[in-house]
Amino acid sequence: MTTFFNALASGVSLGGLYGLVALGYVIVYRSTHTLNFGQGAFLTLGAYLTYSFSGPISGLNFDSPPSLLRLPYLLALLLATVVMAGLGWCVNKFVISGFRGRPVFAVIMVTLGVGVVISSVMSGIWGTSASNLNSPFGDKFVRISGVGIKYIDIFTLGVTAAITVAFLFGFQRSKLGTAMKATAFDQEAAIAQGISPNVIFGLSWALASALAAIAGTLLASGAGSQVTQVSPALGLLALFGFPAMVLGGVDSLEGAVLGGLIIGIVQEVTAAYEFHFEHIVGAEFARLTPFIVMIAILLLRPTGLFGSEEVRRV
Amino acid sequence: MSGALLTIVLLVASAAAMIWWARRDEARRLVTSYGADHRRFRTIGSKVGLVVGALIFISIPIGFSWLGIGSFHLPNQFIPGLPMNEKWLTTFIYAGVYALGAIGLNLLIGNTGQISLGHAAFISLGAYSTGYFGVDLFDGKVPSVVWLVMAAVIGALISAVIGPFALRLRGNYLAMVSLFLVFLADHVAKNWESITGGDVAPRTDLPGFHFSPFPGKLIEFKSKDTSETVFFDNFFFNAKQGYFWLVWAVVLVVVLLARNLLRSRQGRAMMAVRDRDLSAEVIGVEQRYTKTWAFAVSGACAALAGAIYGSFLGNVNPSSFNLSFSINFVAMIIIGGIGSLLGSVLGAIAFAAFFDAIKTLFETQQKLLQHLPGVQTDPAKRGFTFLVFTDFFYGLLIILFLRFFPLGLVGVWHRIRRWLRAFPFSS
Repeated sequence: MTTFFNALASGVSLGGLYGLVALGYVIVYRSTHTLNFGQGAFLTLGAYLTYSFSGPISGLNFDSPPSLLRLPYLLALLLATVVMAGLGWCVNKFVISGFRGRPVFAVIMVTLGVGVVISSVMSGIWGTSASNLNSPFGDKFVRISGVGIKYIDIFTLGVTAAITVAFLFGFQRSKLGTAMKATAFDQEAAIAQGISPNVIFGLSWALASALAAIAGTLLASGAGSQVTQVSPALGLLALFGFPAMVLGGVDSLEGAVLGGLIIGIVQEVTAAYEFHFEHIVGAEFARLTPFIVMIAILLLRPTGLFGSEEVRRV
Repeated sequence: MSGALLTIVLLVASAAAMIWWARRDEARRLVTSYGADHRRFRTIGSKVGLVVGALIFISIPIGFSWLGIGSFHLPNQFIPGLPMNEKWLTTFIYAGVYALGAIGLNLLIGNTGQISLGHAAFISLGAYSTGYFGVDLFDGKVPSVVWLVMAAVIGALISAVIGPFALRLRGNYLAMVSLFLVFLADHVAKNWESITGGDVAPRTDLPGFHFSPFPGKLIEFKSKDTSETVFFDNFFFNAKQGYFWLVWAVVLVVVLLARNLLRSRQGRAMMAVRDRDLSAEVIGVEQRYTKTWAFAVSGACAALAGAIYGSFLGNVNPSSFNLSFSINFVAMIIIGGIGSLLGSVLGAIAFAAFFDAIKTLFETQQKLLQHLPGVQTDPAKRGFTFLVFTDFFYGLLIILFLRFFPLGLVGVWHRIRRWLRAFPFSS
């Protein structure tokens, strides 16, 4: 039972971060009907920026990648988030905005292209080997009736909850949130009300990138058990935001977070028990579970948990 | 230097001949019936061009020795001023493998409109089925044509399973699900150790190619084998030359088949599904059959590419068929031209040649590049190595081509051709 609760704890933390990534996808999808397939690069870049802003752990790495500043962890995280928001806004402004009205394929490929460019620049600057993030949490954990829960997992849960609450109850009801909803609902009507769609699109991209940066940093600090260091492998975790988004229904904010939690828990629980079934399903089967859940949902209930029916014109 | 000058003169002369021929062919190009619009070759020019182009292409590994000039060895220069060596020959072999994969992907994305980011999965399937059918199953005692065909069949069968998924999933969702294929193939390749060797001991015994053109004569070449096969008394070739002809012969066959497919009812059905699948159903095109068919054909091409790729490399590693390998193929068809067979081949050649050009630049110009900030000429160290550079440029090319040349290199070629046809009056 301890194994189960351990897995549950890291599953909730991992799932919360998937939820944040999926939240970013939903925000962009609702306003522009595009998905960022290159989000993995944004997520990894966020983690690397925090790494560089907070400085490497002294005396551990001999050939350590460059670090700019030596800020405290939280300040570095905040700065990285702001920088990533700016980058997201720029990417939309200078690249994606030229693809309005183009076929889905072109938009998917251009976001992948942006991802490839960003990740190649990243591996040029920071290399491809994994390094430890200078976080105050380390590997420390608190023991509650036999179940060890990592500090970083508790912190992650707090951050995820705070962001989710802020989005669902604060941002959604603010003037900006209402403008976003209006643009998603009917773009022309929104323009008639004096809302600029370009600003809304830019802000959605900025928000999504900022959320990805937070998720990336926390994942690299050790939340969950999938990737616990700063490395290019973080990029794959952004793809698990898609199952979370689909599970919640592609246009529902609360659905995205809930979907993320479910996906994260399923993945971590599978990871904890998979060695019993390794001769049948193979090692590292947990990596596949999010996608299996996603395919099942897409085929059985395409609207997900909270999504609205998609109307197609013939 | 005079050799290079001669080449330039020859190029200018052939350009002039092309203009003259294009103008002369102008009247014959006009069509008056539907059948005439769908001829394989519209003009004599395209027939002659194909034959001349094929002869030049066949000559790449041996130069023009069949005309009685020089020996059958790999020449230093293909034509004066254009270098040729083992490295460039390898580039062309890769280009052929990429072209096979790109043709398959283009039929799926460009002609049927089904977005797939999981092409690497079928390439790896082809490579592993080569190992299984060529080595494990019959102790390697079968003609190579068997594993080549079996790879295509297995690829088609497995890929056809994806077709029904595409009935319910479109656009973004299909792309997401196709991502899963890459993960799934990776997982299977790492865990099905009896066939793939897994991650720890990836198999290195993929079969070479051997067949007998007529009884009593066996042609045999194997990856990394430097010995030469004697065909006639004074005609012999090594493994790389052999693989070059093999892969481009397969490309030629696949191009002809795909061309015929696109001219047939099935091809038009695919394009109808691409343009609007529900409307296609209304006019009597069955979606399920068409999409499944498109996936099967694409999988067969990819598996063929994988089979030759595996056989040429001789070894196969589960981790090499990752997501970026898939994205490379999509980059090829974007650079070459979406929905065009010529585009797939051009994109593949451009892709392979570009990679080797940058690699050669980094190997030969180390002194010059060291002065540039951040550039790293040692690929093992951290910094902007040639691998990072090539990734960067591919990403950039995807964005730039989609933004400014949505029709790819083929679109550029069509613009040139239009200019030539209207020559004195072209704007």
